[in-house]
Amino acid sequence: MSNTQDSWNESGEPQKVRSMGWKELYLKEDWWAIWLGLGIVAVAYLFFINGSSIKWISILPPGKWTDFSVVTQHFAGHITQYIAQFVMWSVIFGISIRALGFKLSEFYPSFLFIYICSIIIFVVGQNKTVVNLNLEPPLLALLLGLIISNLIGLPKWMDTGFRVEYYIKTGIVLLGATLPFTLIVWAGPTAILQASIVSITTFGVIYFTATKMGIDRRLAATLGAGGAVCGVSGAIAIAGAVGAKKEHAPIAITLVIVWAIVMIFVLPLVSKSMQLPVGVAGAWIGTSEFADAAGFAAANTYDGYAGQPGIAGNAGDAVQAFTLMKVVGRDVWIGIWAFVLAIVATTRWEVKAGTKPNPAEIWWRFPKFVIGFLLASIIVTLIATHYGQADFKKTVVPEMVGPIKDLRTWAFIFCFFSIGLTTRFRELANAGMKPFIAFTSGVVVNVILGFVLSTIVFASYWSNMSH
Amino acid sequence: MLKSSEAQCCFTCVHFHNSPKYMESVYPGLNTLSSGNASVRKDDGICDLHELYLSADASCEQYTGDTS
Repeated sequence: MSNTQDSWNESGEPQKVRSMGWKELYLKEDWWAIWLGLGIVAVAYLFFINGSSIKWISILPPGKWTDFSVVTQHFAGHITQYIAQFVMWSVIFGISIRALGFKLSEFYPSFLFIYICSIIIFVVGQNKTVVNLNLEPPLLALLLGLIISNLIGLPKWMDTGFRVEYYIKTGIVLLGATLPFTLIVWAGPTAILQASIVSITTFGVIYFTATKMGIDRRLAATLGAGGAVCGVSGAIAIAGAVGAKKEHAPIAITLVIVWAIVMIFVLPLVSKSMQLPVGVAGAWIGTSEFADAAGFAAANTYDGYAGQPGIAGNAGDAVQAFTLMKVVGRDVWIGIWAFVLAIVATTRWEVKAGTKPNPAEIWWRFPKFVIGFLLASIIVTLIATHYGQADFKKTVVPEMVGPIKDLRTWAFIFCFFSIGLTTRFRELANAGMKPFIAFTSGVVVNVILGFVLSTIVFASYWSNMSH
Repeated sequence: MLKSSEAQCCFTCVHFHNSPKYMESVYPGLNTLSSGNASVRKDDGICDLHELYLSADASCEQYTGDTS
């Protein structure tokens, strides 16, 4: 055994990795998202207090355009910045990717592909005709990725650059820098309450529907966690905690991916047809999407509709509401779900192998990137206390917070494109009809209950977040 | 069920495999909306003997030490 991350040893046997303890700080991507995200915030602040800014390197393609010459002139005038930005991303992602055990010879060409396509996605997605078709860049990125991976195909080694979770976790840490900590404190309890109601109800519906149909309790719990807590991450956390059968996790993975992708399109479009306020739609997406990456794609899409006729609220409200609901309201509780279900599994279910549940599970399985998100929020909120509101908007936002937000936008597009590129429908496990019915019953309840709570019971919170 | 310790637990058993890349190769879709390197996964892995996905700290009576 070694601490290396190589998949196979000289004999062709898969390796093992012990990543708990201090090794977690460099062997888990959650921690790398923290180092990278807070590192960017620190550098942005250092530049700012020295009278400069990182906005030169955080460049984004031009916003909504109709005349293509605007695009060509932009790139002609700023190509050096894009090259510098690509080098920046390559270096900082490359260090972490190598530490996580991946080959740089695979990562760099794959990331170059991601970066160039992301530019194209941004440019196309900001064309006014495309915007009028409701194809915001997140949806465009997902669609393009799905077409490439399912109709064209790419070499499997390129998956090294399609690190969905790493990009979204880094983006979430950077998002923390743009979310006032006071908002988290104000809206957090409401988010936790609403999310808990939906999560517990959804888990119950899935679990009891599944067990009534004769599905193994461990699979039922894995499905429940996937649909109620945190998508694929929730499913694999609970699968490991309860000692599920080897084939249980892939079933949950398939169902989460399929429904998550459906919801990326359905939730924003239905919300738009009902002209939901931006924050309200974000909250609904936060209860009724299954995975952070998919939910951010949907919430980002809806933010693009802000200001359109009949849609109240500001761009950014959907992402903020989604973050509060999903990250604060659901993600942080994964460890507790795992601990509780491990107790149930070892005391009430037949297990072939197991271990006495340890409360330390709550920490070990905690999604550590949330720490980075909260720290980023606290840091920027503290910085803001040194400025009046007008000064903060006039100087800190354009010179420090704005560029951080732009880099976050890049991380998000890398993520959304990678979701499509890694979703190969023909490779997903066959879920089977009974698990599909059980999971879908939870989806229906989840969507309806989340809608009622977001648009009626707690609507005033989510509509007034900006204030 | 044996009391688990680092000496005799799944992690040190010849039947257990858990590297992140191995997990992503065995579970298609894991890297789509999660990751083999995620904190939530801890060190969970697959037992080839019992065909289970479980904690590296688990143990059973069929333990066979990995000497590699």
